Amino acid sequence: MTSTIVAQNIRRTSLARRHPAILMGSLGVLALVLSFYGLSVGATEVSLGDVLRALVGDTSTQASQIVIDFQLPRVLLCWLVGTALAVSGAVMQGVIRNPLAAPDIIGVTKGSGFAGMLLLLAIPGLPVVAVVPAAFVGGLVAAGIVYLCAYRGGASPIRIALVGIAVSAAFEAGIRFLLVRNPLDVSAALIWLTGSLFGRSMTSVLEILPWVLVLVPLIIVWARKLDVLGLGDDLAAGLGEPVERTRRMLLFFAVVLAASAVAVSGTIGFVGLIAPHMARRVFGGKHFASIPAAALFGVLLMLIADMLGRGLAPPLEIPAGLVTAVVGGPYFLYLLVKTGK
Amino acid sequence: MRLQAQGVQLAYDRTVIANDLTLTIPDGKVSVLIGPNGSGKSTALRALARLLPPAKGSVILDGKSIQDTPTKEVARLLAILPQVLVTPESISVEDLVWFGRHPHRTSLKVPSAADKEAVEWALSVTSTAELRHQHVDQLSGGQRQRVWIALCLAQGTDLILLDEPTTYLDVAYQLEVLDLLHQLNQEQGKTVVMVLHDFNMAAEYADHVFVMKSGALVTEGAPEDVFTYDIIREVFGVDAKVIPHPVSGKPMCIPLRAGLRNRANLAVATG
Amino acid sequence: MSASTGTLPKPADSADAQRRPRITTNRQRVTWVTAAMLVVLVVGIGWSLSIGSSHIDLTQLPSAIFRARTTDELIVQSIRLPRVVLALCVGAALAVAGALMQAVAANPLAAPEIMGVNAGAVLVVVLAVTVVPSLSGAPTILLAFGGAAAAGVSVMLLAGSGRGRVSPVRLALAGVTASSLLISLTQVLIIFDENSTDSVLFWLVGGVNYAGWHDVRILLPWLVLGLVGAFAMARPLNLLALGDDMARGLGQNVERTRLLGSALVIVLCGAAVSVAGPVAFIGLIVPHIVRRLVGSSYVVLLPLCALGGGALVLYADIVSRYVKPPFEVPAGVVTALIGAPIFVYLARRQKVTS
Repeated sequence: MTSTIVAQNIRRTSLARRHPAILMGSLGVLALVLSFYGLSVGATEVSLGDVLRALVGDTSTQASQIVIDFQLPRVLLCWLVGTALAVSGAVMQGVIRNPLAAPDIIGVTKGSGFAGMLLLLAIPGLPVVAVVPAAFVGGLVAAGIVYLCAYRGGASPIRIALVGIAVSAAFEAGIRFLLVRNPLDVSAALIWLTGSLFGRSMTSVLEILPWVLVLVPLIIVWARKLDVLGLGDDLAAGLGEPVERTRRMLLFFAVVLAASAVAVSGTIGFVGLIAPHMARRVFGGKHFASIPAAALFGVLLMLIADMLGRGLAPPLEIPAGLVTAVVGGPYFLYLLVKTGK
Repeated sequence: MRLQAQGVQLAYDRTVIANDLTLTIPDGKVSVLIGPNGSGKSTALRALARLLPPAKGSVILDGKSIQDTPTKEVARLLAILPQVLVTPESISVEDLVWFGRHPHRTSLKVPSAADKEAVEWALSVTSTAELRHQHVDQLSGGQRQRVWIALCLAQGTDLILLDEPTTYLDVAYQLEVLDLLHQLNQEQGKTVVMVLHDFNMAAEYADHVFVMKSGALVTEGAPEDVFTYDIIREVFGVDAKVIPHPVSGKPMCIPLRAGLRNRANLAVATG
Repeated sequence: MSASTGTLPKPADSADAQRRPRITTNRQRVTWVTAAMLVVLVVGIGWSLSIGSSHIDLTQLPSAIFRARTTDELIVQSIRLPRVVLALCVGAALAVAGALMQAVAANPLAAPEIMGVNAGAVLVVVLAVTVVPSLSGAPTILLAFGGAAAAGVSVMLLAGSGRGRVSPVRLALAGVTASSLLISLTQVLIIFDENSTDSVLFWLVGGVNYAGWHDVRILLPWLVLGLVGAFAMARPLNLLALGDDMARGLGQNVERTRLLGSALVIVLCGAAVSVAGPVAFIGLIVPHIVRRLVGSSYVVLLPLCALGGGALVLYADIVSRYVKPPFEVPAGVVTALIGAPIFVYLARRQKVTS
């Protein structure tokens, strides 16, 4: 980076860095407000009053029942999936030492997709929710394959990234193969693959909740390890960090978070890529600040995507995964081109 | 002697770089590993720094095999400055030097008074205190290298290993860095081990020199004993006239180009 | 202070060594490989022409190709022959494009699908066809060029090509990012348009099973243009492989070579993709295999890539007909299944220079 860009960054980020807590708090408040509003948006008209009633547990009106049964799980999922994907992406970018790394590249997304599709096509008419455990395991297995293939006396970030991309491509080929052999269910399969929060209930929330609750705080506690890894393997080892072991653990956490998100909501792209990026631009490179910030940005992205998907053309619902791709992708390209990176 | 490689075999994948290598690092001195490309000097340094596990033999630190010692413990005894340094984006000098305290901090601990003291000391000794809020990527080559050395110093170790700390730096910055290391050795008693490419710099600054070629230790000793016509001829493949430095008295090796070799009176080269 | 002696270490020595391939050819080897490929091709052509819903004897083929009188011979001429020809053309185009891309980007992992070029072309074509369903022929191809170019440029920008040589990782990551965006957008269009599943798969996977002579007619001029241009660039590309500075020193206009090479890639990929969809991995694996066999002189590499690519797509198409008989499966599925493990192998082999 030239010094002018660096100087600009100092000016831009210094506010956030001097009072990160305040800024993060504001983001949190924004997310809560959006959630509240999101609880009322949907195929049926629900007033804010009904939302309030639902939140205090009063299910006397049909509208407030709808809020509890349909809207609440979705909003909660926005929080959980957004956090999981964003934190997973932040960890991946820290471990791979590249801002373009995302949970997708270690094969989790495609592996989950493949496993889920395998099940969906083997048992036609299976409800989406039953696919979750298979997709979860599929994601973990794919990541495991990537790590094993990348391991040659150690797994360097570069090799992990390259092998990850290749293995993802392999699973993608598998997915296409399945699609081709079972053309009748193509549309349904593609929609699941695209990722959406449609029809998810509290069961889905409970399926992802434990992972997020346990792993995200753990990762934040390990934030400094991520910083140290960013100095390069040699210096990190010299500073007392068992590099291979730490990297393995961090990758494992990232994979589990990503797999749980994909299993529950399908493949929602770009959240894991953009949220950490935005967090770093605003809050700086230290992971202790940028990881919680990434989570918040991830939540915001999910809330917005889900609301847009539901609210743009009711009663038609655009899957959240599509919205994030359509909005997120070009935004990201614009950002990168603008900073000349 | 605290740090020592005993009969180590060093290899990457299946390529053996060094066989049965024994290096004993003298405490409290400045030691330099020197040799042509491919001599294994960087590999040897990495092995000493626990970055490369020896295929055979072991590296001993304070009586224990370095491989059996946990990474964090080693980091409290020995600091390494690798050759390839990755500067994180927009990080201030002070933040970077703070990384040096990593071996002393657990995940949940807040920085202690001892940590703060160590960082302050490292900044002042390397004269980088006034740069503390600047971004590392804005600094000159010499300043940046001093900041990285400050990071190693903040680790609070007696042993500092550096892999080619002066290659790619302008001459002025090379001297800046080497003078600093010399000062740290003289005033703080740090044991400095470095790989240098320039054998004249080595002759000026080293107390002890290890000369390597093709993965083996050819000779070791004080610069006066090591820099001779014969050794330079054997190891580097050049004819050099060795004379005492006009100011410091240390050996100075001047490689001779083709036309000069018969003119120089090489037999009178001082050892 | 006296100057340092000995040789200064070249920065990233091993990276340079990997980047500058030894340009060697062995006349005999080349002849053998060419002959072998031609044999393979002829066998494949015969095989492909004879299998299908009605088996046609090999002996009948020659007369079938030239004098179609019986219904069987008509089948061969109007259905199977164009398919075979298209497979050869598409394979040649993609393989040569891949080799060109690897030369221009100085990057062993550069390939049209990894750089998002194919995805860009597909997206634009699908968009166009969705908006104007009767669109076909020349306008489609031109739009495909536009999509391919835009995608390729975006990926290079993403990878930060303004700052000197781009490492394979940066390029691959940038390509994946761009591709996944483009593919998602394509999927959006596909899901929301009432397309038959067959055409959905065609645009996702790519194949030659719907080939007709008009497809061949559309592709051929661009293919010829692309191949002739590429073969003419062989010597400049050899020079480029020595490194920019070296090439300039030898009188090569590096920027113009790169520009021309990129333009040819866009022409070849855009045309192939608009006619056959995004057939995967040809551009990545064929150049690597051919390089292993005959070395990296582009004078020899490019023509052999054309042959090899054609053969690969041809055989993939043959295999694809056994995947789910009697239904047709796009050849792209088979190339993906073959190509992916090879891609993994290549990724594993990448020398790691931090």
